Amino acid sequence: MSLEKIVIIGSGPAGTRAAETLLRQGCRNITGISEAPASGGQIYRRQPAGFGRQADEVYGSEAEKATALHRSFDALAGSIDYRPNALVWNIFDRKVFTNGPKGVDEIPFDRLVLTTGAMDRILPIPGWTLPGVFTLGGAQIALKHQACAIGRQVVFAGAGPLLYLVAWQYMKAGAHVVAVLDTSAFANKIAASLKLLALPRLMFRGLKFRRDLKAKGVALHEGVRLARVEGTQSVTAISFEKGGKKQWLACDAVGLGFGLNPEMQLAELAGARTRFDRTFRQWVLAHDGEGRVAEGVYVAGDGHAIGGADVAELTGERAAWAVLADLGLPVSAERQSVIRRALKRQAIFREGIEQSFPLPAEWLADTPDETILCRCENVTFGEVRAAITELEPNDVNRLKAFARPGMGRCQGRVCGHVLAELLAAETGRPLEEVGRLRGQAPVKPLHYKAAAGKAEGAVQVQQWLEQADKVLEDG
Amino acid sequence: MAETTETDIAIIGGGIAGVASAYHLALAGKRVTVLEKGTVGAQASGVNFGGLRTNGRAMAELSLSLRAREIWRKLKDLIGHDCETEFTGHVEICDREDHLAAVEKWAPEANAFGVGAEMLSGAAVAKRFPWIGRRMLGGIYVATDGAANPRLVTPVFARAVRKLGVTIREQEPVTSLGYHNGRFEIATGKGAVIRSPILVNAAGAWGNRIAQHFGEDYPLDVMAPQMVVSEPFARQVTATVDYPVNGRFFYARQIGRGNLLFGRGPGRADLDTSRASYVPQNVFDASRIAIDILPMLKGRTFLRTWSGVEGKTPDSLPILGPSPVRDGLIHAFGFSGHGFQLGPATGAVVADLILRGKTATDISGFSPRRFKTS
Repeated sequence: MSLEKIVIIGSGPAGTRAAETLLRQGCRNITGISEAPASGGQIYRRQPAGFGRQADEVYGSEAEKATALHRSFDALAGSIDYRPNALVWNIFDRKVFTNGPKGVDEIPFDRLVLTTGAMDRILPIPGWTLPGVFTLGGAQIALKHQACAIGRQVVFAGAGPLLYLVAWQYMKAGAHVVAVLDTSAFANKIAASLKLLALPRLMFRGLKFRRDLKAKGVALHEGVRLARVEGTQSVTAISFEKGGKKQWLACDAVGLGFGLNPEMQLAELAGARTRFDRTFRQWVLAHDGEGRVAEGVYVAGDGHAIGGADVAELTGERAAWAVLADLGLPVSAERQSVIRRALKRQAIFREGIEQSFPLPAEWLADTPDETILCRCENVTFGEVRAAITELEPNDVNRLKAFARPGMGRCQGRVCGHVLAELLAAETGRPLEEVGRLRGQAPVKPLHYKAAAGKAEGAVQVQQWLEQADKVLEDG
Repeated sequence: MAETTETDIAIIGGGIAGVASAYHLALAGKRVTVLEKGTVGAQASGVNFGGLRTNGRAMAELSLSLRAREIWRKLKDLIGHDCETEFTGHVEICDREDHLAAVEKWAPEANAFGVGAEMLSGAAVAKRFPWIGRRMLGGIYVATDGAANPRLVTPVFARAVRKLGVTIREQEPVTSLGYHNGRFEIATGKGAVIRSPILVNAAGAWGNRIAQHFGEDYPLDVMAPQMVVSEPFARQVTATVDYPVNGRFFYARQIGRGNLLFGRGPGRADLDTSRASYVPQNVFDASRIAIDILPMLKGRTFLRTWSGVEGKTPDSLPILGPSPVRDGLIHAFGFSGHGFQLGPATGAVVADLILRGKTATDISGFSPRRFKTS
């Protein structure tokens, strides 16, 4: 048994399996924090109270896994200090800072397990900020969480497994899917098929999505180059090029996405280092092979490297075994070896996915100057290019300082990787050399009022202000 | 064989003091080499509040600060970019008798230098700055003070300096430093050796490490500014405001595009890693002050906090002047959080000292000799 304070951030597949394993092996002082109102994460996000759709309607072929995960979490929730609806916005001096229903709080920890998930990866195209354009993940959440479609005539565009999955889910839910515009050519998938066969069930599921979509008359275009989301007030069409031919499709909503980016800001604040992964063409957290990233800090799930829900469950359990080993508690070598083998197959499959759906980063060189790159701060490609030419920033953080991209509400979650791609392309340097935007607190915006309410810290300030009031009244 | 470069003047430190020194020296036709361990303007010069304030300065700093004010006014002519410089005024507000008394004593002395400070009654503060949410006993206002974007100023200065022929060597920390046969010899982390008869120590928080090579040792501590920036909103805060709470100033300004920036320490910094931290308690305390002084923040969010590494002397005045022990060595470091506004004039003074052996600016309060150095 251990009474060391273990804080787990996130209650998706990774966080749930980590908590379950730790609890089962005798950890008795666990705090679980979730930004969402309920467990499940993004992938198995639960519906609000009162919604009555069946699990197979919401989660499709993954209903069994979703239900099992929810059941696991519900069984353990009473045995841990569970704090839903709480945003973790900073980690400092071995304390987690949250903002929840009762305001700002500090939670000290002995060990910290970060399962912070991922966010959609976007490549801006002209018109990408028009009302009616959603990320693929956002489009999926609208459907899963609220049973809403993003439009009446929807086009899904971009690259990655989510593209076909979300289109299929919309079609199944009865929405009108106009087309799927896949920026990757079919040949890429053929070339990757041996790797994809590492997990035949997942590969055949992907093929089934395509077949079903075609059968329902959804147009599938592969190897397209997206030109522009058309419209002035909102989306009216999308234009693209295929085989040198310009095409145009009327629609009122676009789901756009190019895979996912790990959410690593909190891990960075907790002392984790990042490394560039050439296969994924993105930065991931550097860990020791078992999820250790810093003294007493562990990571799992899409938040440390993109792998999907099954990998999240496996790495969540893996991180828990690492915690247990470090606590001197018994570990199951057998489970660890099962996880290692399963992750190997998953890794081959992930390589296949990356090969099937490469990020068309080369587009950025031709993105028009007037296209918005950072939508929070309204910074255009042209303004960023000018800063690159005039002030010669050596890395993306410097570029951010010069021209403001990545300084706004999302703190560069959306545009950070685009900024790096553009800087690398414009200066002819390898992507990994231009760096990545550093995580800074708060990782999401925080109300001054919430911060000011952290009363015990502000006592002296409070007294000062009251004294001044008194002086003014007496005078 | 290491690459050896001869230069007229070597400057260690690519902050605003070092780069501005290079600017004035290059204008006079000197060959100048600037060595920067990281990138120019990345430390205190780049992460500070951006205030261009003469208001409230120590008397010892006023001569330098007023010279700087003149340079800031013509910044665009000098370096080809205004770096978002604007002169919207600076007000220090008082709700304590003792604070008001101190300000009332300071104003006539400062105005004798030509600061142009104006005393305001509590009613005048409320009328002039209706966005201030608390009643005040009074305040002091300098209309010609302002602000600039610190992230731009030093890199843009550096661009101008390079156009004047100065060599700025970035990512080149000093690995050894000596003096032989009338020449300083500086070895860098890239294996180069710079030889120069004159050396300027503009190494900021790291200034004492440079001084130690010559047997000098100054009482230099580190400090870390603690900055918080809001989401953008329509501009209401028309001047920079300074307000002391419990012995520490809370200072705020809103930039043209709408973000409101405030600061209040103390922070935490580490010279070895060149890293500083924003301490979360500061945002709790400062937000508590902020929603009282600037009530428009009540329903708003902040987006980011940051910090940086600054050097601090016991009297919060810089160490600026010739080294007491080594001819040809000029110190210009330890600006104690005041160095941004002073930067351009610091460069001018360093150039005066090197080119003429004296300066018309009163820097007597900054003498390295005021500290016992060994």
